[in-house]
Amino acid sequence: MKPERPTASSHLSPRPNLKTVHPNADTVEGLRELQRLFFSAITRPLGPDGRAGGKSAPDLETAALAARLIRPGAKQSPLDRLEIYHRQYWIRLQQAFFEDFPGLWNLLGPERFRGLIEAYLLRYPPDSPLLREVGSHLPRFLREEPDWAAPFPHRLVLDLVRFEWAKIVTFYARELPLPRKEEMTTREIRLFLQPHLVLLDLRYPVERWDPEGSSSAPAGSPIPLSPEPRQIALHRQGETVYHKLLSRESFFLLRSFRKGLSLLEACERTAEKFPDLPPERYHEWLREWSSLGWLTTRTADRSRSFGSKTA
Amino acid sequence: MPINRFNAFSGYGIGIGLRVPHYDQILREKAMVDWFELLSENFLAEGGRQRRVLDRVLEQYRVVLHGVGLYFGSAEPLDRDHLRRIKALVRRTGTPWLSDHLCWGSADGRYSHDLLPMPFTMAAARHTAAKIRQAADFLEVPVSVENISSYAELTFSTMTEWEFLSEVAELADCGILLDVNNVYIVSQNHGFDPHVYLDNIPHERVAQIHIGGHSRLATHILDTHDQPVADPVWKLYGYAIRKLGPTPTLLEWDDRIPPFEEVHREARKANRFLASLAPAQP
Repeated sequence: MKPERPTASSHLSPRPNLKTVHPNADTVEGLRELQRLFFSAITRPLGPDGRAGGKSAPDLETAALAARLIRPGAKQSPLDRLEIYHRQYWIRLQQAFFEDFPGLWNLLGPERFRGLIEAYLLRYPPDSPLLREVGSHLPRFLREEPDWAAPFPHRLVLDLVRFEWAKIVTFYARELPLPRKEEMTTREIRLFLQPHLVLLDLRYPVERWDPEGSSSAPAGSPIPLSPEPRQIALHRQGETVYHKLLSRESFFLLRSFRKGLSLLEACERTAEKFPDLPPERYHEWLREWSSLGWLTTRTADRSRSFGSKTA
Repeated sequence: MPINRFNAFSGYGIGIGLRVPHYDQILREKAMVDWFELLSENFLAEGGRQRRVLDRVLEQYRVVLHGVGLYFGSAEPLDRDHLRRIKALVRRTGTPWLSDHLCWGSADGRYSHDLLPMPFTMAAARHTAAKIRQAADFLEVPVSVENISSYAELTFSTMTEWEFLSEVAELADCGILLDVNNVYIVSQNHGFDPHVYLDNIPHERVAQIHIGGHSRLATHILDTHDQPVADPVWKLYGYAIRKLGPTPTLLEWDDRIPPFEEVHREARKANRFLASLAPAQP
C-alpha cells in the first residue's frame, strides 16, 4: 500500500539500547560504543522547537542518554549540552543543502525542503568527509521516495535535483588532457568524456527554473514548468559551469563515447540509430566538442573522480 | 621555543585563513601577509575554481594546510582515501606542516561534519596518538593537533583536557596547534583557569597558535569566528607567547567575513604582543 506520507522516519537507524550497551572509554571498543551512542543522539530529527523531542514533550530517552554521556555544567543540563551538538549537526547540513540545491529550495519552499533533506539524511547520513559531497545520493533518494516531490510531478523535482547535483560535479571535477590534433584524425581512437562534462536526459526544462526567484511555489500552486523533454550537457569552461542543449543524435553519440567505443564504432552506432544523419554533422560536432574541451583520450578513474556519484 | 621540528623550523609570522570573499583581492594585489592557512578539505578538488585559485595562491604566498576531516579521535580507522587526497595536496602545496583537530566526528563510516569532544582517557589517548602517527608517517610532513572548543564534558573522562592533549602529543610525537580562543572558550564553558591549561602543556611541541572571535550566549560561549578577537583572548594570547616565545600565529575569521583589510588589521594586532618579546635595542 502506498503510504500517505513519506516514510523516511521508518529508516531511522536503531539507537543502541542503553540497557544492554555499556559505553566507556577505557578500550577502543568502549570508545566505539560511546561514539555510536553520541552520534545516534545528534543525528535524530530535531523537535519542533529545535530541541530533542521539543520542550513540551521532552525526549526522556535522549535525556537519559545525555546524563549517561555528559556532565552537567553550571548553567546547563547534560541534555542542554547535547542539544548544542544536535542542533549544529542539522543546521550545518541543512545550510549545505540550501547552498547546493537553491533551485530545489525555491521550488519546494523552506518547510518541504527541510522535511525532504531531513528524510534524506536519515536514509543517507553523510558518508564522506567532504561536505560538498553530502547531496550525492539525493537523486537516488528521490527515485526511491517519489512522494517527497509532492505536490509537484515527481519527474520535475527529480530532474531539478539531478541538474543541481550535476552542477556541483561539473564545478569540482578534474580536467584530463585533451586529445592531440593528430589523434583526432584516427578513426580507431577511443574518445572519452571529460569528468567535468555531465550528460542529462531530462523531461522538464529545469535549466530555466530560477533558483534566485523571489518566492517559492506555495503548496497546491500550479506546476511551474511544463514537460519539454530535452538532452543537455553541463560543462565547465574555465571556472564557470554552463549548460548546452543537445540534439538527440549528438547526445546519443556522446553517450557512445562514454561507453568506451572507438570513434568509428560510436559513429557507426549513431548512424544505425539515426540513418538520415548527414556525415558532415559528425565532423561539425567533433570540431565543436574539441573546441569546448569536452573530449579526452584518457579513461577517468571513476573511483577517484568526484563525478563518480553521477546525477 | 616554537621554532621547532613541528613547524619545520620555518619561523613563520602572522597568517590569515584564506577565505572565498578575499580571493579576488589577494590574487589581484599582493597582500603583505606572511602566510595563508588553507582549509585542506576546501582544496581537494582536482579541477575547477578551487584548483585554479590554489595554483595562483601558491605562486604568490606561503601556505600551511589545516584540516577538519581526519578525525584522529574517531574509534574507526583513518579514511585512507581521504588521506591519499590530503597527501596529494601536501605535495602540491609544499606545506611545511599540517594540522587537524583533536576530536572525533565519524562513526561507522558516517560523518557528523562537526568537531566532537573526546573522552579524556588513556585508551582514547593511545588510540588517537596511533592514528596521528599513521597519518604523519603516510603524509611525510609534521602533523600538529589542535585543541577544540567544546560544549560538553564527557562523564567518562579521567583526566583534564590539557593532560589529554599532552598525552596524545607525547605518544604521537606530534606538534600542538594551540588555539588560544578555544582554551578560553573551554575554560569558560567548563569552569577552570585557562592559565593552568597553558602552563601545563608541552611548550616545546607548540607549532602554531590560532586566535579568533567567539560569541557569548546566556549559558555558554560559542566558537563562531565571526567577529574580532575578544580582549580576554588577546590577554591569554599575550600570556601564551610569553611562555612560548614567537610562534606562528593565525587569525581565523569564517563567518560574517569583513573586507580583507579589516581581517588583516585584526591579525596584525598580534604584533604588539610579539614585539614585546623582541630584545631591547642597545
